[in-house]
Amino acid sequence: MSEKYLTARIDVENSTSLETIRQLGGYATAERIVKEMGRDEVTNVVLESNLRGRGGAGFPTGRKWTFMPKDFDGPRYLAVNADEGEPGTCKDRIIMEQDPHLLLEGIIIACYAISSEDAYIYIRGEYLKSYQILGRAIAEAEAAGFLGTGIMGTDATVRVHLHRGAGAYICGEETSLMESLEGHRGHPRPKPPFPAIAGLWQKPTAVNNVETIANLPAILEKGAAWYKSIGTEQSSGNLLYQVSGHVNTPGVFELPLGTTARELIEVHGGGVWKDRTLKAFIPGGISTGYLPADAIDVALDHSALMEWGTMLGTGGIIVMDETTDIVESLEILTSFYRHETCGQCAPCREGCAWSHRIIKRILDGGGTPADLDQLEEIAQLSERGRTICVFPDAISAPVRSAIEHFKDDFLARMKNGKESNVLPGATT
Amino acid sequence: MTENNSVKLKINGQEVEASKGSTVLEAARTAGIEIPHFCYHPTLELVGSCRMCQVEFVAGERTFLGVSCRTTATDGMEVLTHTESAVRARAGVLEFLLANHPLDCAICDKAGECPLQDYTYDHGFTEGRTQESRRTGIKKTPLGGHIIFDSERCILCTRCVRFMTDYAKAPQLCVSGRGDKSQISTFPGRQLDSNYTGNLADICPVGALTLEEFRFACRSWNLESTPTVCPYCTRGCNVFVDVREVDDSPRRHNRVLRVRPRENPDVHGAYICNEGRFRPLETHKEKRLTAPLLKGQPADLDSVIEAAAAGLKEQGGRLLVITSPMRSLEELYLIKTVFEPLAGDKIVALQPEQEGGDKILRTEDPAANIEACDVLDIPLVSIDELADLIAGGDVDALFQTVPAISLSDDLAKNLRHIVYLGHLEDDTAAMADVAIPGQIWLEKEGTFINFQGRVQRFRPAIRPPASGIIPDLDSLARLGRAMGAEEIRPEPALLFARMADELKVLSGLTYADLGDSGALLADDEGEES
Repeated sequence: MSEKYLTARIDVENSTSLETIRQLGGYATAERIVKEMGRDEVTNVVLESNLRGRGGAGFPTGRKWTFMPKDFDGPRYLAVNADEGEPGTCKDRIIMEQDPHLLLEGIIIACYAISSEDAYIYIRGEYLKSYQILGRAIAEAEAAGFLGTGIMGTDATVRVHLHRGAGAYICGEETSLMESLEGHRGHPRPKPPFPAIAGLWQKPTAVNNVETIANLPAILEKGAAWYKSIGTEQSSGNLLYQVSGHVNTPGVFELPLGTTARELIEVHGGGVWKDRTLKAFIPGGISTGYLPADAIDVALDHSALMEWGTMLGTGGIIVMDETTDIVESLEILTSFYRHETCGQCAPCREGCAWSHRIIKRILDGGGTPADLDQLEEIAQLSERGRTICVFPDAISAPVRSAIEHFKDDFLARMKNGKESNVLPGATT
Repeated sequence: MTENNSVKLKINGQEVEASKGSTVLEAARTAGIEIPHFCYHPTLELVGSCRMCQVEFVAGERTFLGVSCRTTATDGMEVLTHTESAVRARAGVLEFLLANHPLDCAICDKAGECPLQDYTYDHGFTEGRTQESRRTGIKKTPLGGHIIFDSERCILCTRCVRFMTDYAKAPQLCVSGRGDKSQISTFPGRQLDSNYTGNLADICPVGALTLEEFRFACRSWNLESTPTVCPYCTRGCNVFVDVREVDDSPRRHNRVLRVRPRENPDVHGAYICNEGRFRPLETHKEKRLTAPLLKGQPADLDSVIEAAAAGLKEQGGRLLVITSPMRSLEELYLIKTVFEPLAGDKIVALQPEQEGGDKILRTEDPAANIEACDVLDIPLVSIDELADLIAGGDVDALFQTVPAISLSDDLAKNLRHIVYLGHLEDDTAAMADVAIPGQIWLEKEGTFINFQGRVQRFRPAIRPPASGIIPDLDSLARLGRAMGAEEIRPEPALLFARMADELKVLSGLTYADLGDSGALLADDEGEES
C-alpha cells in the first residue's frame, strides 16, 4: 500500500496546531518553493504530475492554471472551493477539521504559482466546525508569517479570506460560487468567459477544490514522477474515498486512484451490513448515478467509470443493500435536486420539479410505464448545454441509471401500488 | 468584403450582415428572422436563462445547441434556427413553462399580446402531458406602483427585476426563494416606489405583472390604438393611446383605458414614465365645459363668439392674451396671428413650475410645447409675473386659454372683459364674461416641439364628451373673423405650411413628412441640426 500524504497527520495529537505541524515538516515545502522556485516552474511540476481536480469534474489542475492570462495587469485570484455539498461526500471536511495547515500550505503554493495575492476559501455554511478550525489556523499562520504580506521573509503576499456559504448546493458550482462570494444570489454564470479569464470581480481566477489544493505540498516536495507513480496511467495520486450507507465501517479512506469498488466496500467499508447482499452503489456522489452490484469490480478512477457511463465524481461511495427500494431512494435524491436547483433556467427549474413529482407519484403507486419515457424526455430536454450550468445533467444521471439498472423496482411499484417493497424488510 | 465594424454570418443558409458585437438573436432580427425569447430584452442586461432562444450552431461536421441571445455573432458563423433539435429544445422549454402555468388566458389581461401564448400556438401544443396538479400561488399581490403580481402566471424571466435595477435605477424587485419556489417579490415590507413601474406590465412577457388600472378592463383586441405624443413634459415621449369604444345605445362614448410607450430611440427609447401613462386616464374624471357660456349662462356659439369679439375689440390695445405651453404649435400660431393686431406684444404663455427632471426621461418642464413658444416668440411668464402684468394697470381685458388660474378678486375687478377658451368647467369659466369650451390634447391634433427641437405630431384618440365642444382652432378662427382679422382656414396642416413659409426653423418641413417619429427643426443656417 502506498504512503498517505493527505491524511498522514490527521491522527496526530493537536494536528490542527501550527506548532505540531511545523515539527512534522509543515510549510517547509511552501517555504522552499517561495524562496527558491520560479512561479512557472511550480505550474510545470503540477502540469507534469497530472494532478486532476478533486471536485468532481477531474480537470487537470495545471492546465486550468495555464489558461489564466500571463500578461494581465491587475489582481488575480485563487478561489478555494470548500462548499462540499454533494451528498455522499465528506472528504474536504477531514482536511479542514484535522489538518487545516495542509490546505493553507497548498494555498501558498497555488497562489505563488498563479501570482495571486488573495485566496478566498468559500466554505459550506453547515461546516461550522471546519470554519472555526480553519479560522484559527489562518490566524496562527498569519501570526507566524506564513500568510499575509511579505510571507516567510520574501516579498510574496498571500492573504487568505474565509467566506461562509449560506446553505445552497449550487454555490459549489464554480461560477455561482464566485457570484455568491461577490455578494450576489448564487446563480451560475454562463461560460465563456471562463473563470480563468474573467472570474471573481471579472479578474482571472483559479477555482480549485480543497482536496486538489491539499495535494500540492506533496507533489512539490516529492516531485511529479513520484506522484505519477501512484494511481493509474490517467489518474495519478491518492484520492480520499468516502464510503457511506449500508456498510459496517463507513469512513474516509486515502487510497491510490484506481482502487476498485469491491476493495472499498468489502475491505475498507467492512462489507455490506447485517449480512445482506449488495444491491446498488453510487460511485462518487449522487450526481454520478446508480451502479448495479455487477459493477463492483470497477476501478474507481477517471477512465474505468466512463465505461459504465458515469464518472469518478467526488469519490463518495454510497452503498445500498438488497432491501433498498431504488424508487424510494430516487425520490429522496430527486427531492434534493428539486430543492437545490437555483431556478434560473426554465428547463432545470421546471424539469427537476417535474421529475421529482413523477417519481413521487410512482412511489405512491400511481405510476405507469409511460412515466419512465417522460422522465427520459425531461432529462433529454434539460441536459447537455440546454441550461447555463450542468445541474440538469447531475439529476439526469441518477434518474436514468435507476431506470436502466433497476427498472423492476419501478414496475413493481406500478404493479403493486404504494405498499409494495421490492423485498420484504423495510429500508433501514 | 466585410467591413471592420460588421460581421457576416449565415442564418438558415441566408447571408446576414450584422454590426460587430451584436448577438445572434439581434443579427437574425435584422434579417427578419424572429427567434422566440422571453428573458432577452434589448434594453436590459443579458441573462440567457429562459433558454427559449436556443438555436443550432454548426461547427464543421458537428452541431450543438446554444442560446442565440447571448452568443456574439462572428464572421463565418453558421446558425440554424429551425432544425428538428432546435425546435424540439424550444418546444421543450415551452412545455416546461406551461407545466405549471394556469392557462387562464380567458381572463388574462395579457391575452392577445402575450409571447407565451403566441409561441404556444406557433408550436402547436394542444394538450399538456403532465399528470401532476399545477402549482398554485397567490393570484393577486399588489406590489405598489400600480402593479399587481400574479405568481401563477410568472415564468421567472426576471425582466422586471432587471428593469427596476438597470433602467429605473430603483432596485426594488428581486427573486426570492429557490428552484420551483422562486418568486418575484419586493423586499420585505417594501413596495415599488418609482415613476417608471408602469413599464413592468409592458415588458412582462406573460400576464404576471398587470396594471391596477387596466386589470380586467378590456380584451386587448377590442382596443383602438392611436399613435400620439405625450404632453406632460418637454421630452414628448411617443405613445399609443388605447381606447375602448363603448356603445351603450343611445349613449356612445369612448374611453382611454391604457397608454403604452411607442418605441422611438431618438426621443425616449422603449419606456415612458407613470405620469404620461396614468394621467390621461384621469381626464375622464374632469368636469368639462360642454357648452358656451355668456355671463355664466349657456348660450349658442354664434352669439357667444360675437359677444366675445365685441368686448375684446372695445378694449382695443388694453388686451392681455394668456396662453400656455400645453397648446399645440398651430394653436399658439393662430392665437398670435388673431390677437397680435389688438394685443400687440401682450401675448404671453404661462410657464408651469419647473420640476427639476429625473435624469431618466422626465425633463424640467412639465409642459409639452415650451420650445414652440420660443419658436413663435411668445414669452413665458410665471404666475407672479402674470399678476404683475395685470396689476400694472394697462390691462382692461383678458383672453385666456389656461384653465384653473383664478385671479384674485382685486385683480379681477379692474378687468372689464374676460374671454376664456378652455376645457374645464371651473371658477375661471364661471368668472369669465364669455367662456368657450375647448378640447383636450387627446381629442385634437397638432404638433409639439420637444426639448431636442423635434417636431412631433399628436393625434385625436377620443371624441370630445359633447358635440358642442369644437376644435379650439375653429373657435379661434371664428373669433378672429368676428374681430375682423384676416381669414385663416383652421386646419393644422395648412397652418403648419404657413409657418414653414414664415419661420426659418420650420422651413423645409411639411406636416405630412413628420410622420410617426417627427423631424428636427432646422438650425439657424437652415440645415437640420
